[in-house]
Amino acid sequence: METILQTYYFYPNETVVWSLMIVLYPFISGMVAGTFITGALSKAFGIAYLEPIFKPALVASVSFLCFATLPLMLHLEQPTRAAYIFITPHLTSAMSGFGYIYMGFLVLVIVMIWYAFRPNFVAKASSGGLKGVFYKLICLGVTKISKASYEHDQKVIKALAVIGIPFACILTGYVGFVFAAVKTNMWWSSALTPVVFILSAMVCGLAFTIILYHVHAKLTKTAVSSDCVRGLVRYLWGFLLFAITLELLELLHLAYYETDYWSIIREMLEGNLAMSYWGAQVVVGGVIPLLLLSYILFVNVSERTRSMLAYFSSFLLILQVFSMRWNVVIGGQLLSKTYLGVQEWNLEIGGREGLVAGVMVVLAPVVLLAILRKWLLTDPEVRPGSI
Amino acid sequence: MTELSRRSFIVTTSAAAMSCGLASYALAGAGEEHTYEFMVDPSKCIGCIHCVKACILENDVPEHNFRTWIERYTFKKDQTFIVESPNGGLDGFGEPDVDPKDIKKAVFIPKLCNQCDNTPCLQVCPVGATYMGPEGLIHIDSEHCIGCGYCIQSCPYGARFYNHETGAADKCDWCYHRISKGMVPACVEVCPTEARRFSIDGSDPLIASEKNEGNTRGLRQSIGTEPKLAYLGLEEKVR
Repeated sequence: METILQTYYFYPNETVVWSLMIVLYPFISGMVAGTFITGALSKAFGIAYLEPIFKPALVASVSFLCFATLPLMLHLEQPTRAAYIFITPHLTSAMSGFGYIYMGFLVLVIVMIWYAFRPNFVAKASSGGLKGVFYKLICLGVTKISKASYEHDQKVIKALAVIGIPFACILTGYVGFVFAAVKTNMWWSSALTPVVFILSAMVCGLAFTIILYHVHAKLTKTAVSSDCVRGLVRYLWGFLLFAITLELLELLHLAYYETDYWSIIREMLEGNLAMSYWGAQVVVGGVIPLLLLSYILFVNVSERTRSMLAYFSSFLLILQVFSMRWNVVIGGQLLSKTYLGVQEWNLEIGGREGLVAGVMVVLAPVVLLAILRKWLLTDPEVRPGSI
Repeated sequence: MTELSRRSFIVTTSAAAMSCGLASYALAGAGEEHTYEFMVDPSKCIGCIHCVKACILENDVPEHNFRTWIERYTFKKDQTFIVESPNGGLDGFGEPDVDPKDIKKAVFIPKLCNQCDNTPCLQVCPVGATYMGPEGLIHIDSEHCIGCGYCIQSCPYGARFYNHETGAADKCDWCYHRISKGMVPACVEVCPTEARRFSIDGSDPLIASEKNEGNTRGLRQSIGTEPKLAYLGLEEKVR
């Protein structure tokens, strides 16, 4: 193999163009898709033990969905021109379709939420004053629910879940494809990238749902269903295993080919990205939770231990997925297009794409979720007979 | 005076409108299209950086960004090499950090937009702000660019950058505002050694003859971008 790293060189225009906001864009999109699929599983496949997390996961999904484009808007040099992507889409671009996919999915999730919470809205529509008017408007004037219409709603929810699961995969896989379509960046340009994005979206969606379920149960002083937690952990273990395997296979593939590019990838993974890749993504966020989840699944543990370890592992897994997004987005730009060097880059604290703005972007959907949880998830379950 | 029937009025005005439309279409398409060719001869480049300075002045290029820049490749006898371009060449090159006895040769490589025929920057622009003009040159409509940076990521030559003054992606367009008026690009105009040569409709026969004899090639041809910018006698290791 020719020794090429005798020199260190970047083109003078090279810099990290996509920073924290573009890390958050696939992270939040993944959260949208992951939580949606987690919630929809119970309806699409009739998995009864996952029923308790259907509504929390759906509300989490819409909370993240509302802010999925915020990092993009903060990143754009010309955010006021963002609508051009709808008005004059350039269809050869992998990016041009995102707006349509996003809007389509947004409509689907809102319709699904409406159907899922319609009995609650109808129940509240009978109250007087402005509140009653508000709920009458939301119910589109229909203030009664019969057994037949309830069953019809459940059928629609099932249909939306069946359509929504592949739609969510397209949403997050498509974000992966935006990176994979950059032909000259070997760190991104792989057919596996969209698949890895889908799997890691499932990991963070399941992990977030486990956390949300525990927090919600604590706040409403209700019991956590151990069957539900066990089921979520089983899915989480499986998706995590696939995600880690594919991530490492991709790396192994690059290493085995020993192209010019591998020299700088190796240098990056041993240097600038060592902590976030080996430390955060592989060990702390990957291997440790995998071991913990295996322990929960294959060793007979008490319900309390299972819940605690699942809850703790979920935080580590969200860190894993965030690190993975970071390593993909930032890592791909640290590698010089000359194949002759790895850039130094530090995240700025202030500014439109700095750490403070990033924290706010991450907190925004969590705050919305807290509001929606209070509004939608604290009412008792309403059935046709009770209205 | 003859009275016009409603039928003949409609027919006449429609015909007139269609004629006007066709005429304006024909006139619009009747703009002169030229053939532009750019050739760089690295063996003649002395690294004087006049071209880089001229480009900055001509195109209001922001500080630390470059529409054109100069690299120095120092090839060593052990088959390795060193590449440098301090601030695009503006900070001067100085002596190579290599024992002179180990140097096989050193060469300056002028860099600019390669105006690729199979261009990844055009393909990835989500709003069509990057487009190919009738002469095959790649332009950016800075009034339409949303500043997503996708084109910057996709250019394998590092020719694009964010122009924070215009809020849009930016790159060399071979000084289109000059060449469309029959002038040569600013960098070509100031090059004292003719390391950069430009031809409008075959005005520089040397470019055509070097190309015909197969002495030129594009940068990093293996990646399939089909660059129009031709380099004469380019070392394969140059990227």
